[in-house]
Amino acid sequence: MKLPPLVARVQVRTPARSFRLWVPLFLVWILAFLLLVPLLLLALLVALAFAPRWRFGALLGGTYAVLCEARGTNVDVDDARTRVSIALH
Amino acid sequence: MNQERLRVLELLSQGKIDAKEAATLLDALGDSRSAGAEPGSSPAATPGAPAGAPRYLRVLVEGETGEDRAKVNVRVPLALVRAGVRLAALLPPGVHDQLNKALKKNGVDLDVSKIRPEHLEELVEHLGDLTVDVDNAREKVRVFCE
Repeated sequence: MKLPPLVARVQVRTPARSFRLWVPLFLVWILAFLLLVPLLLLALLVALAFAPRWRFGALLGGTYAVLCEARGTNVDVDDARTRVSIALH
Repeated sequence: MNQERLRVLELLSQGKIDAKEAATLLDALGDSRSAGAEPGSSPAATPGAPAGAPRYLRVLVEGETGEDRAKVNVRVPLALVRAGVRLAALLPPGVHDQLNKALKKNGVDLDVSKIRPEHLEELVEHLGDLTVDVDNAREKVRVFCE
């Protein structure tokens, strides 16, 4: 089963200090899931009523797939003094 | 780089083969890789992609040199790009129009409705052998797959 990124690593390095933060994204997903269930049901009803040709299930699956495949994304931004790095695991 | 390629380069550096032989061997390895006939060359290949195919799209942007030198290094899984293209194909035509307008407003003249997953595969296939370099006086941009 594919899962969305579970942890984000944020690393900041400045001349003064540097720190590394592991952000537990899985906690965010749990909270988001609790919020999203009622919202999605509402969205499904609205879609069925106003846009029956929309492939709601496929769109939902596609969005989840995009979220899952974000694992492995890495962004580093460097200037002469500061370095910020974000990685999704 | 896989073991076979490393071995060829080692043989070349040891003088056991000459440059011409090394090129022939590397070409042969390249052919077998592109044909997907080299199982295990990519230990964790991207699902839906042929074995040995690149897994990441890398964008490197290097700003002007000197005090304000800035560097951006972005690594995006190609699976994410594929999932994005598949999602874009599912969007209703009305949304495509809105996306096209928003892209055009930001200087990107692109028709999202015409992008298909097979086009992306073609692009990735070619990017595997190609590096796009954009150089100007102020910044350098490199786009490649790895």
